[in-house]
Amino acid sequence: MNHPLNMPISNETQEFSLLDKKPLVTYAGDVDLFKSLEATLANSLSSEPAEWCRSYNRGSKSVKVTAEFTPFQNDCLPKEGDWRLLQQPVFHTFWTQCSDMEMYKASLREEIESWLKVLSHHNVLDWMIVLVETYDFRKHNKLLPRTTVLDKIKNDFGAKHADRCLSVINPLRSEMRSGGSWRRLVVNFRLLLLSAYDRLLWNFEEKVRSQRERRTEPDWNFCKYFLLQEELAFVLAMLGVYDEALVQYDELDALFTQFVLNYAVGEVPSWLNKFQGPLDRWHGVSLTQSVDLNLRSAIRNCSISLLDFRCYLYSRQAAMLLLSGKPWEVASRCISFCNNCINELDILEVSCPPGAVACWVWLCCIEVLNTCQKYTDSKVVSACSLYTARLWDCATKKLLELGELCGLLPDQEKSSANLHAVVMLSAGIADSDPSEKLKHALSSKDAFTKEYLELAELAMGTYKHIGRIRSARMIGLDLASFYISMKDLTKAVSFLSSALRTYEEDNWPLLALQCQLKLAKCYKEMDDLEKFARMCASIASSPCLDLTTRTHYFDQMTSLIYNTTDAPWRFPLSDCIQIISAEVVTLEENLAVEAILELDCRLPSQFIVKSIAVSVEQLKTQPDNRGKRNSLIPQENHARSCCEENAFLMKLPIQESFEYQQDGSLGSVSVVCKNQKHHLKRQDSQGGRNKRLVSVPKGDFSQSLILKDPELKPGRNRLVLKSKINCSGTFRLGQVCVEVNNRLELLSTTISPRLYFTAIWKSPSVNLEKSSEGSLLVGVEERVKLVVSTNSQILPENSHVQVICSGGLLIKADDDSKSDFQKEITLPVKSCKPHENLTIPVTLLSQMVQQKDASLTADHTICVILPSCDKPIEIPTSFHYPFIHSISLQSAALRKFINVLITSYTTFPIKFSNPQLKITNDISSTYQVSLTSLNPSSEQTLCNRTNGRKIITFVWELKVVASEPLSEALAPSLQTQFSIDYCVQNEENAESTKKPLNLNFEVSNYRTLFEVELKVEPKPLKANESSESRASEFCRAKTVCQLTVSVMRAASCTCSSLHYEVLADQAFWAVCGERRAGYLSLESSDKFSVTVDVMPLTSGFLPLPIVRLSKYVGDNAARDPRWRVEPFSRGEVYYRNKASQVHVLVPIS
Amino acid sequence: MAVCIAVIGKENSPKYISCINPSMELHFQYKVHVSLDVVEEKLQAVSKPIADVTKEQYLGLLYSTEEHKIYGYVTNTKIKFIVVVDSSNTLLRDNEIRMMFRRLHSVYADIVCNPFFIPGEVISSKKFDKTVKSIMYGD
Repeated sequence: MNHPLNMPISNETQEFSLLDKKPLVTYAGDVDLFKSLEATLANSLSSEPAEWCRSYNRGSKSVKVTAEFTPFQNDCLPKEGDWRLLQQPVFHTFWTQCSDMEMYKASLREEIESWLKVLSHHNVLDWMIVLVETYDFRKHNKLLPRTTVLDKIKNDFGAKHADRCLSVINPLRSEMRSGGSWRRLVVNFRLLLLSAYDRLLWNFEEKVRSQRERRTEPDWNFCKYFLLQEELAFVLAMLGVYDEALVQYDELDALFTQFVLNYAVGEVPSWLNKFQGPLDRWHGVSLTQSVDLNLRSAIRNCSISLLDFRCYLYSRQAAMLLLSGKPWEVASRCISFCNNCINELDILEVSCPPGAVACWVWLCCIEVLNTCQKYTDSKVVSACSLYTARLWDCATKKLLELGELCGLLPDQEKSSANLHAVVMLSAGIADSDPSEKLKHALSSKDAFTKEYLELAELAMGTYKHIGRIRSARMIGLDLASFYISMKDLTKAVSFLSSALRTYEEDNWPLLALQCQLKLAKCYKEMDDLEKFARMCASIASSPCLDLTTRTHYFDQMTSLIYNTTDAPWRFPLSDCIQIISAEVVTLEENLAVEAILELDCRLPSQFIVKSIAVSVEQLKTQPDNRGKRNSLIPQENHARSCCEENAFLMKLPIQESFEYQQDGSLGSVSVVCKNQKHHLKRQDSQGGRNKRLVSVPKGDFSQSLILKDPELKPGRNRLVLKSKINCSGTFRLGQVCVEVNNRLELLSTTISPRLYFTAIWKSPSVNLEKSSEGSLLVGVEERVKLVVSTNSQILPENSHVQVICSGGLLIKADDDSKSDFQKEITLPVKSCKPHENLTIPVTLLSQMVQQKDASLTADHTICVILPSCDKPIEIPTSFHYPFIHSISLQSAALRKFINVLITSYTTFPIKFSNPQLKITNDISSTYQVSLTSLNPSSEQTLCNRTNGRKIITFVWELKVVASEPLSEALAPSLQTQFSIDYCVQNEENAESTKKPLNLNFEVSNYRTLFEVELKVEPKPLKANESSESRASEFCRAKTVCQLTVSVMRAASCTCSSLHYEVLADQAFWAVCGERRAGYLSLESSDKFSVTVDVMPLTSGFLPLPIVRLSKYVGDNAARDPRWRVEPFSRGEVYYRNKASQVHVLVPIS
Repeated sequence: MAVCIAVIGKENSPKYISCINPSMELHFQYKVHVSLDVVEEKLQAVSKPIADVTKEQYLGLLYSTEEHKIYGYVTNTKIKFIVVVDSSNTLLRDNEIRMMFRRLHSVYADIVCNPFFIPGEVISSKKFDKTVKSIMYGD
């Protein structure tokens, strides 16, 4: 039996396209008739898709049916075992237009019979007989139609297949009428054709399966099996079912892969050896629709190389994918296809010339990329670029590999071996677009460089476009190396820097270090000393490097910064020193602020720097009160430190939470985290935490905390920075500056979270501290303490405090017992720090003076002048009088007494002794006045108010010995001085000495001029009643009585025109009549009486009404404008009845 | 089985990298770093459909090169596990890769449970080392 797979393909061309292939359909019978209808039929078939309902539960497919018609020939029918499906006619038609029954019986039936016989001989069941009729109007009018030819045909041949015998009205003759029948024909044609394929493929698949089952047999050959199953793919592709065709190829791919994998574990089928031949050509894959027949025949001959076979398979898969409109799938499969092939070459131990595989991979990548670039639809492009980036990347790498092999790198010298390699590699590649490109690239250094840079640019751009920055950076690194070899360091540096940035952002120290090492090398060659020094600092601080290398770079850096004369370099502090924590401490006693910095110095050896400073900026406004404030003056001194807080290690503020139901019973208990939003805040969303600092500007260091000449040891350093703060306000810490020397400053970013402190200026204050409770007393030596609080001020060494007292107050330093009380004193004081209290004990004495008013206190001010304080500090103080005194003139008719009253206001006893009253002025020329003391000679004691005497009275009788006539006007006033010794006996001054008290008074009008006598009597009822009877009666309430006012002259005086006025308490007395006030004259006599009607309003002992006597000044008759009433002074008028009462009985009812 | 295993923190910084051949570590660091691109891409694609309760933590093959295949896995806390296997190791099934990740996740969970371990720090644990080595050697 001739094996079908060995049959040569008749087509001699190198390739064929499946798109040109159509299902073959034979025609028999009336050939001319069919020829006339062929074009119409072909058009109608492909006009709309048909549903391909397949047996055995396979999904139905919508298929556009096309057909190629060939005349029926006996030998074109498939023979047993011939599986070249594409060349086989699958459907057979018979055409006739016989309408005559006789003719049918005569020849046509026989003709059909023999046709069907041939078909059935070949087991073909897919046929169709078409009777083409001409529309006959008459025929349709007949009532009983005769048996037609169609009926006969159906009867004879279509017993089981009535749908295979169809009549159709010739569309060419009567287009109008044929529509329905023609459509039926086309639909049936399609269905029958597809069912023919269904049957065919089912049988074929059976065959393929059985072939596959035999794969372990020794004479089984994969190549032959491949071609067999590919026929299936061809048919499916021809029918337009590309996805199923792809499945066939994928199955073949998987099967082959499995064989190769099995080879690795020792299963070696004999056919596989053919694939292991040495590689002599490395044509890239060619992505065309058409089938490469050269390769296919090589498969048939089992003479194909592994790479060629893989290329063929991949190109078929790609063709199916492209036909399905999925170019990105082609790209996505390409990279794994290449990798897989390389892997298989390895497994099968195929010997390949150096560079051959690289060439092949490059060509494949470029071919796929070229194909993808043909698509311009943005959706497709973006779908593709996800995979093309990797392809560009791969192509770039392979080209570099080839360039190195062929000596085309910028720093390579081309050798003959390189030339040989170029020739050898070029010989192995076919003539195609990518191949020409490769040949050109390998032809010269310039062409190679151009091509390489172009590819790398594309790869990088595409990676960036799809957001794969890290991949782009990898290409950047390759490019940097390439540029370094080209001596184009500037470009290399830019690529390395961006890579470094990415690695630092992602915090990959080892990768960052690699970049830094390369960058350092570049900068050194470029003579960019500043950047070189910065790189050295970073490298020296890298934890991923051994100590010797780090020290080497550190030494390089230090030698640079001490030898260069550039302007100062400013590097970010974070390059080599990390701030672990910062803390602000306020030192109140020194008026200073300290910042305690904990720095992690990563440099390999000790680093001597000039200074470390933290800038301090003053805030214009207060920061919000979040406990960040550090007060300089107030005692609350929460030193807040800032260190990185690990969110994972923070204790959550969890609280109990009780939920009560409506009736008040406990519903549920839970724990709740307050402020959970703050704690659950995503930290990674902040992003860029590891951002590399390019440069840090130097802030304002005019105010700063500073530490001079510190030593930074490797590892943790605890440094205390100090500063005096000279003004008040709220401050916050800014950035840290490590000044290494004049050439280098390391600057940090602003310390975060911000640290604040507040400085408050408080001026010194002085307080008066009493030694005991109670108030200070006038006239007593009071020991007090002046307490000076320095606050924000300092008292320097050898300073003096000056104390000045206001008038009436004297002061004496306690330790200075010799000197007397003074108005002001100057005291030496010891030096004092801020916020210290200085106590100065002094004794104060407020002098007892004559009291001008009734106030019980004497107010004084003490002024303290501190040396460093420009303003004197005033302390207002009040002293209480321990007692008050008063003096009065008392009269008893004509006798006069001087009464001195002393009232105590203390809680302790005061002793008085030796009271004396003296007249100090000289009045002896007119008067002789004497004072007679009526006081006891013993000492008198005033005790406190509760248990003892409160008041002491001293009395002197004033006697006037008048030598001159009494008619003289007024007696001259007396100046008297009262003197007494007092001794305060409080707790402090128990043994105090007696102190003299001298008081001056003036005594005037001390002679009685008039006496007034009052008498209240019941009023006589009748005029004739005798006075005896009247006298025995009593005054009764509500009865008018008689008030008799008698005024008598007591001593001679010029004044005789007087005015009287009866003043009665209106509660007791009603004064009646016009004579309640009036004028009286004592010119004629020395006595004058007037009677006034008064009525007592109530009963009982009533005080008598008061009569006020006044004198007239001036002359009424002379119309003197000064004429007026003037009261007498106390002592001039003696009222006899003062404080006397009259008994008033209840009224008679 | 694997040639390199890496644990990457949620901020994409390496927390642990171990290779069978320590001299290759730098090479693998580059590879693992590049693979983070694909991890991020996949995570973004995953995050789009909302509320997928049973989120697949296994990310599958991230990318392959001639020599290596790189697989990824991400925990709910965005800790990434990267496993690099040799491309020539054709017998390795997807299931076995998943198994490796599951073991890795479990031993990582143990590490995090240690009260002395500060989350976010580089992992240095003998136990972790030992387990990772045993995963790499396929024990």
